[in-house]
Amino acid sequence: MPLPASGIESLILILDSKIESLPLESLQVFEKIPVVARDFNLHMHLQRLKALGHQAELHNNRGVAKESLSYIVDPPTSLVEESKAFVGTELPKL
Amino acid sequence: MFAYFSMTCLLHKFPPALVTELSIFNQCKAMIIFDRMNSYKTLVDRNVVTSRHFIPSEQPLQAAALFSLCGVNTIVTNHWATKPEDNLEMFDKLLRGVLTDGLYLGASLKRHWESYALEVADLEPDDPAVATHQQKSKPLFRHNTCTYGVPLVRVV
Repeated sequence: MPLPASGIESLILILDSKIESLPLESLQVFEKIPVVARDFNLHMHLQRLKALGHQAELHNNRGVAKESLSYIVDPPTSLVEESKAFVGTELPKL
Repeated sequence: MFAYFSMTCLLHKFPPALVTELSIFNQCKAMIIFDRMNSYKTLVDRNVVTSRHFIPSEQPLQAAALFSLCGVNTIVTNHWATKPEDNLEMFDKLLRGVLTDGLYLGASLKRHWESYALEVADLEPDDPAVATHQQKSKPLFRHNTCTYGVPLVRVV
């Protein structure tokens, strides 16, 4: 499949169950992406790809640079201190 | 590939206990489920109007999760209930795209809507086809279908 103007062949949304009933695929930001789908988590998606014999290098997939990853950590109050320690010390080591 | 089109919810017809026992789903790679239809209301807001037939475990997310655990890699289903005739039209367009045009399962309906918009783009505003297009392109129809799992799957 040739890359579209957006440069993205397909997009998988991993949504919280609280907002899964919303048709988020219809957002304008996804308009130029030919295929938008959903999955439950990364692990399950990888399992599906493996089951289909997916080969990353054949699908314009050269991985994602660690430095370009972004994340949001929103822990419950009881875990705020532990989360700070995790984000501040453990995550940068990964 | 397994395609289901019915007024009756798939999990109502095949309870989860039966689904997990059926080896048929273990061999299934992709599913199309159009089982959310309502003859009287075009949209059931499940937070406001909860039908007495509403069963939390039979909602699209739960059905997709169950079939995913059974090994199905791609599941196309509806978010909400629409009229049977609208559902049938979407089912028809989806299958035509996948089986006739060889499109990816996750891209078939999106391509249909794009080409449909192009067809009427050059028509005069008072052309009846434009009114039909506006009626059929309502978000209620356009954004009803969603794909779970791997969308880049072709039926060969």
